[in-house]
Amino acid sequence: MSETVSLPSILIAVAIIYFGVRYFFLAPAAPSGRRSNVFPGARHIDIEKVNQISQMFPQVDRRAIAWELSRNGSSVPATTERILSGRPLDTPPPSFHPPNLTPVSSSSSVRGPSTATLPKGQDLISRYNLTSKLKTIEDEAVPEGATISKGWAATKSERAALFTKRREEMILNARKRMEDAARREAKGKGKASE
Amino acid sequence: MANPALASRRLFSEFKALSTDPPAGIVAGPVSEDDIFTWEAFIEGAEGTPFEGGVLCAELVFPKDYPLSPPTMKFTAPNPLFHPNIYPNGLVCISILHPPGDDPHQYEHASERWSPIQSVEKILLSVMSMLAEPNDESPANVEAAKMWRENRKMYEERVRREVKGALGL
Repeated sequence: MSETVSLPSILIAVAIIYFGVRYFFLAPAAPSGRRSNVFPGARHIDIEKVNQISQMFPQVDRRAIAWELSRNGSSVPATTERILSGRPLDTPPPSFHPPNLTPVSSSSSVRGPSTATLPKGQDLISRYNLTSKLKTIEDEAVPEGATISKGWAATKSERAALFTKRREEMILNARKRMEDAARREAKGKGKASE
Repeated sequence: MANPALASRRLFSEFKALSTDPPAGIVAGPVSEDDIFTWEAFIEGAEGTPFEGGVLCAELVFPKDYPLSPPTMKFTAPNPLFHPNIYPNGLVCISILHPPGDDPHQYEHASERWSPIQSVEKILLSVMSMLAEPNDESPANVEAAKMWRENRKMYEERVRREVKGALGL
């Protein structure tokens, strides 16, 4: 009696082994099996992520970034770590052409860190092309304690415009105040000598 | 470990704070958001100093492991900026821009030096007070320090001239 094993318990054991093996060995194999198709990742590449990394490392080829992302599960930290570690990214196969992977607009790369290349001793008015704006402020009086505008905007270009405006306000207000002070001083001297 | 994504996020939030609630006399932000690690900062010269009425412009360059390491700050206008704590090439020498472990002069308190709880705003405010009150213990510009100590009037005259020059006057 004790040696006989009941049929139901055999069936249950077989079922457990079957699902166990399936769970542990076959499940992870399924996605990797799908992965071996021709660059399926190319369809899922998040262009925002490519841009993000490309901004940090403009010297790295954007196609290589996309290729790396397509293979490491679209992980930005893993990609940046790899670039920083000094291991060059793998060259993508020639047939790898993710859609929308156009270079970032040239206008943004042209602007770059501009101040570094400025000639020595250049004044702020000519550096920021404010000569034309000097005329328009000539007649307006800068109110005493005029403040610089502040604020925030939702888009990158609006923020850039706002920043430019604040910068110009600060420079032009200062210039105007200094001119007025010089004029007052000259007037004071004129009166004193009369 | 350097984490450029973390550094970018931190710089972006500092940019936002400095735009919505800026300290008086300060405008600062990235030259272009495409490179959040290069900023320009504008500081109004404080009243009662020879910088009064002027606008000083500096470039800040942040390391990829900011805020663990401090940025560098370099004045680009007036250029040169004649000050005991500013190198003739415009580079600012101030304790808040020195990493905590690195104290070449052995006189700065750890609390004055850089740590991740400092910020761009604190750097700019420290520079503002440094402009008003130079520290001539370890001059970056020996000529400026000497003139500041021995011939204050001449020093102030020279600074006023440079500040005017920066505004195209």
